[in-house]
Amino acid sequence: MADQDNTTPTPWIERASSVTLLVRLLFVVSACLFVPDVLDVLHIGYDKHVHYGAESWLGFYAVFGFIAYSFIVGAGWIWRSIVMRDEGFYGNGDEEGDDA
Amino acid sequence: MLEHLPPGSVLVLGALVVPLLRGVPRQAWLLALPILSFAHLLSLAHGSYGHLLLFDITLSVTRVDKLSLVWGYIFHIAAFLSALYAAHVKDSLQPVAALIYAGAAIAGAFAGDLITLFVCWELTAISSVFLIWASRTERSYRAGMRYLIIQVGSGVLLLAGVLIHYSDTGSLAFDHLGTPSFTDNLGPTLIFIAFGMKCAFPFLHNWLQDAYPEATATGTVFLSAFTTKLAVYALARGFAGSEILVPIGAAMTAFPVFYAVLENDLRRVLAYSLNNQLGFMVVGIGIGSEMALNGAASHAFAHILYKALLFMSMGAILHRVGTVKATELGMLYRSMPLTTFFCIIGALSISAFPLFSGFVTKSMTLTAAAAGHYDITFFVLLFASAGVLHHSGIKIPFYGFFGHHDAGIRVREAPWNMLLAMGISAFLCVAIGVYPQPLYDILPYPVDFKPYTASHVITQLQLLVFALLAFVVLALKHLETPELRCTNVDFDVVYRKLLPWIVRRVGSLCGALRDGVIDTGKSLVGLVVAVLHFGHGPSGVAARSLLSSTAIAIVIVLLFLLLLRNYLTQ
Repeated sequence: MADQDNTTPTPWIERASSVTLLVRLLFVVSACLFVPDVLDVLHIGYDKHVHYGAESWLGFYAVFGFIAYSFIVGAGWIWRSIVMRDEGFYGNGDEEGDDA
Repeated sequence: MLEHLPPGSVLVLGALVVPLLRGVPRQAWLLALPILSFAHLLSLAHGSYGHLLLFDITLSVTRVDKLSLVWGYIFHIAAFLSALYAAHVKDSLQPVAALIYAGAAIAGAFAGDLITLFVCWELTAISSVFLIWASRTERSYRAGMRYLIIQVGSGVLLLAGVLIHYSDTGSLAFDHLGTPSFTDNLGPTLIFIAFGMKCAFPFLHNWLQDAYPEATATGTVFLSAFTTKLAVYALARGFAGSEILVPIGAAMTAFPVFYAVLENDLRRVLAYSLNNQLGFMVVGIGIGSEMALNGAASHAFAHILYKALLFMSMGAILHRVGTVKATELGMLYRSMPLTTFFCIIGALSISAFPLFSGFVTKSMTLTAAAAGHYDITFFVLLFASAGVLHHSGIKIPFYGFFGHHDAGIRVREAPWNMLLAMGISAFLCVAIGVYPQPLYDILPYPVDFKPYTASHVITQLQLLVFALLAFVVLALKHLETPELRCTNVDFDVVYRKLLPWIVRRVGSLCGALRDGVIDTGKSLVGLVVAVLHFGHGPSGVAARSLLSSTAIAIVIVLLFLLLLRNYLTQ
């Protein structure tokens, strides 16, 4: 089923330099996505359609997305300390089936 | 003639032939049945069909209208894609169970009366459990039993509600049933709870995360499409506009996020994700406006496709590797590049990136929430959207196919039929995202919604890209919650641990009480026996016998005393 293959070169996406490049690209894209909100505040060519006042704040959706994700991860650490039990907690064994 | 058969019956009847077929003819039959059933559906015009007389009640087995047709179309597409995905399976049990299950769900979506709905409701429960048991493990057997108890329990509750409703109103029509209320509207309230059990409302949800990950690789794909979406349809039909559904749905979108972040089993992550997605639909139904109901229906349509696609990609891993635990996987993309690609399409769709199906459907519900001034709900849904990106947009493809290290697993790509099913699903996810008009055209109400406005595209991208940025920053700082082999206790601990513990404690208490009563009784009986033995035992006073000479002597003495008394008194 599985065997180790060490002969192939490291694929592009697994190289540290590629990961660094992708991360930088993400930062650039994120920065670009901030621009429309600046234009909206300055009333230059882009009008953000909002339902609530808070949505019109500069970078509201960007900040909301960043904080919401970080909150989920942070809450995950706390929640894990409460709900995590041993894998055999329910005593059902650990086998998995397939339909092959 | 054909209109007397309810939609889906072709699948149920066709399933009975499957055990007689082998090899290519069987595969062809499995793929032909959903197409034939779909053709049957298309032959039906809007209206009611199949009127049956049950005692003195007229049942309307089939009702075709715009709402039921949305579910009818997508259920047939899901049945075809799932059958294609499972075409390699040699086990006869699974396709038979799956086809009956799909057929029952389709018939349920077209049920014109509550008795027909009940029959379909129970048939989906009984047939689908075999997809869980088909894993043939102890875990799957136990999970299947729990699933069956809850699903059949939901049906029993439904029947009770239907009978009370009939007693109160004299109607069995499956239309809007009013607002749930235990005091004023008991029958529909029981029906509402039955729907809620199948729709995985909070605290009634754990059968979903318990059972779906234990089904076979192909069985979970079927399961993901029908049961919960039939419940969503039933809520849309019976309880549209019920305010209570708004907070219930909002809770459903939010709480599974915190479990999905922790889960190691990627199919269980998807089960929590499914719960989260159902929440969006339930909110839409609760709001009840035309846009909200369109949002719920279109989201159900798109969701069935991308959720099936995600379950298919995880099923392909399970099929090839034997596990979908994040801790066991890593860099599988090398071996399964096409599956990886399709999974990423599913992840982008569920995350609602522009040009993918989630973007053009989910946003309708959010817009309807804002338009209806459901302020808190709107922001909860926004938060849940970021949560979706976490568990389904990033976690599933990342830990399924990339991960932090190479697990050294080298396997073949998924079988051709799995790839084809995933490819078609992925194509549909993109097609709906790029050109949503055909989907909008089949929705229950006219659509007055433009998804591709500059504002909507930019704000959605801001939300998602910055959430992605948070993932990268946290990962670089090693603050991501690590994947661990563990069990995360959810509400099912109540009936899997707490209730059995209470039953055991009560049982041992009753045992001790019984032993005490028996011991006390024994002591009392012993005492009575001892007393009786004292009086009536072999040496007891009552059992003592006298000699006849002694008796004669006593009689003589008594006669003498009598004589003496008479003498003295004269």
